Amino acid sequence: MLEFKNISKQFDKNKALDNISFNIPENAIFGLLGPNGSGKSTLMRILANLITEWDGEIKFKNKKLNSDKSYLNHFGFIIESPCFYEYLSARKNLEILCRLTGTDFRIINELLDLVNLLHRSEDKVSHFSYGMKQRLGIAQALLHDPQVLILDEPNNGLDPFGINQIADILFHLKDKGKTICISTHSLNEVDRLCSDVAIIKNGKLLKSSPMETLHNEKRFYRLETSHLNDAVKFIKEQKSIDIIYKQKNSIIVSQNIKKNDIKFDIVKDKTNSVKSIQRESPLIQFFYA
Amino acid sequence: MLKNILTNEAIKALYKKRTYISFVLLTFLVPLIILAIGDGAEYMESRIYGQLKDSFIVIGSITNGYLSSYLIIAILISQMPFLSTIVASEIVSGEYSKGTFRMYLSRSVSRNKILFSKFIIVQIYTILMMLFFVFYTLIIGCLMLGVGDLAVFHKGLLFLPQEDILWRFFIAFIVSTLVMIATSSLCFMLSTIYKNSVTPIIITISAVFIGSAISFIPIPLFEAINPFLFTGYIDLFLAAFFDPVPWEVIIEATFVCLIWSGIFTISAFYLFNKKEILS
Repeated sequence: MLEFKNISKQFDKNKALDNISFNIPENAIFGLLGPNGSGKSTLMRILANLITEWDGEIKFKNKKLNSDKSYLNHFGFIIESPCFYEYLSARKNLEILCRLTGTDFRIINELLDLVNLLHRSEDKVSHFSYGMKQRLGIAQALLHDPQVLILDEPNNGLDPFGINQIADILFHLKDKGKTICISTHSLNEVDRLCSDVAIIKNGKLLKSSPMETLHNEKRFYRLETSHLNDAVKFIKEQKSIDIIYKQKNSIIVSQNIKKNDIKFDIVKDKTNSVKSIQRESPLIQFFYA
Repeated sequence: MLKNILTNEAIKALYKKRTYISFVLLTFLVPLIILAIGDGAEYMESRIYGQLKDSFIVIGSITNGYLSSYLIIAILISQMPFLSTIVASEIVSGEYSKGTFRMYLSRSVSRNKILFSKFIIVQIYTILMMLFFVFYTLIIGCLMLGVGDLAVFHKGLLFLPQEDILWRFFIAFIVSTLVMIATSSLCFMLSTIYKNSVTPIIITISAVFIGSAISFIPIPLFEAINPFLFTGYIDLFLAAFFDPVPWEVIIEATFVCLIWSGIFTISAFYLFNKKEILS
């Protein structure tokens, strides 16, 4: 549905994006995963026309995006964090955006209800909590009924309750046929929400894949150990297990599912030094790459 | 669409407290100065007449609403550039700093239309502020001190008859507004560059100070460039009270102010279209 091809962007001497290519399928919840400063926001800003000079090509429904900004009618954005005219009420903020895109004001109540803010619609945004602002931001992004929702770290700064609320809204929107792209540095968030993922690090694409494929390739575990060397020695003897990362008291290992000839718990028994074994997201391999 | 964007900009400006600072300030300051002028009329008149009193018999008072308005405009006109930057400095930079452009510019709306709407609001504000300054001063002055002939200094002491005054105030308003439009256009252009609203104010006021210094220091180089600077016309409103009115100077000032306003505005559009929203 949305195709990025050889996207590059340079700020002075710093290459923020380096030849990035991937596709976002229709009706997916797509995770754009990467550490801070990896280039996720830059990519979103390019799509949102906030960055005007860049190299590469973006296609939406096989149509190349160009200087005609009408494609933006199909997109709703929250870039970095939702922003408002804080001295205005929630309703006035939404009215301003409705006027900008020629959207009927009647949708405002519907969206405020969706994000559970209808009862606070006349309050100034400056009186809202961070979670309420995030939800109002989603309402802002949805005002003109876009097909694609681009959300930059939608759960940033939220408590578990707020995170759950956002997740419920996103699943509801997916059910209504929207395509959603969220950027995040949280593996758990992608694991929980996303059907597809692209991992970016230092402006380069490490991987783009459906989550299901990643889960079916390898399994990843974190081993807490009191005798690191014993555990490492034992694991190295196992052909189906690779060490991804070593820390002071833990090791992250991968196990090839196709060569599933060893029960992983054996490590615990044989070495007698492993305190616990915890399943990890397959995405962890890219963070220690 | 432009009407919608203009409505948005008007709402944003009307709901901000800073929009009203100039009006509130003038509302209280002008009557206070008029009171002071009325109270010190005798002393002021003795200073104005000076040695003339030895040669002429003066009957009645020249202190009236017209004189007080003339004096107030003369006193405050050099402060008006400060007030004209209040809205202009923040209208674009404020959206950068608060991040609202991230949401506003990611819609299918041309940047030119958005900036044009902001420019219109800035200039409406500037014109309204000057209109309020000149005519509020005049109305309050006349209400508090009454009307009469206007005594001004131009090639000596010049008395302008009562019926020959109002149109001169209107010309004074036009001339001083043109200078303020050029000032606010400069500040508006700077607002498209900077992410905070203080820097545009500082640079604009510095430019006005430097321009004023150039107009006051009588050296050949400064005298040669001064006619081409809008800052040289800040006190040109006084010319509206000359007899005869120096129309050629006023027309020249009009062109200079409009050309500078045009340069600043075109630059603002160019810079804004090139601007990448990174914060």
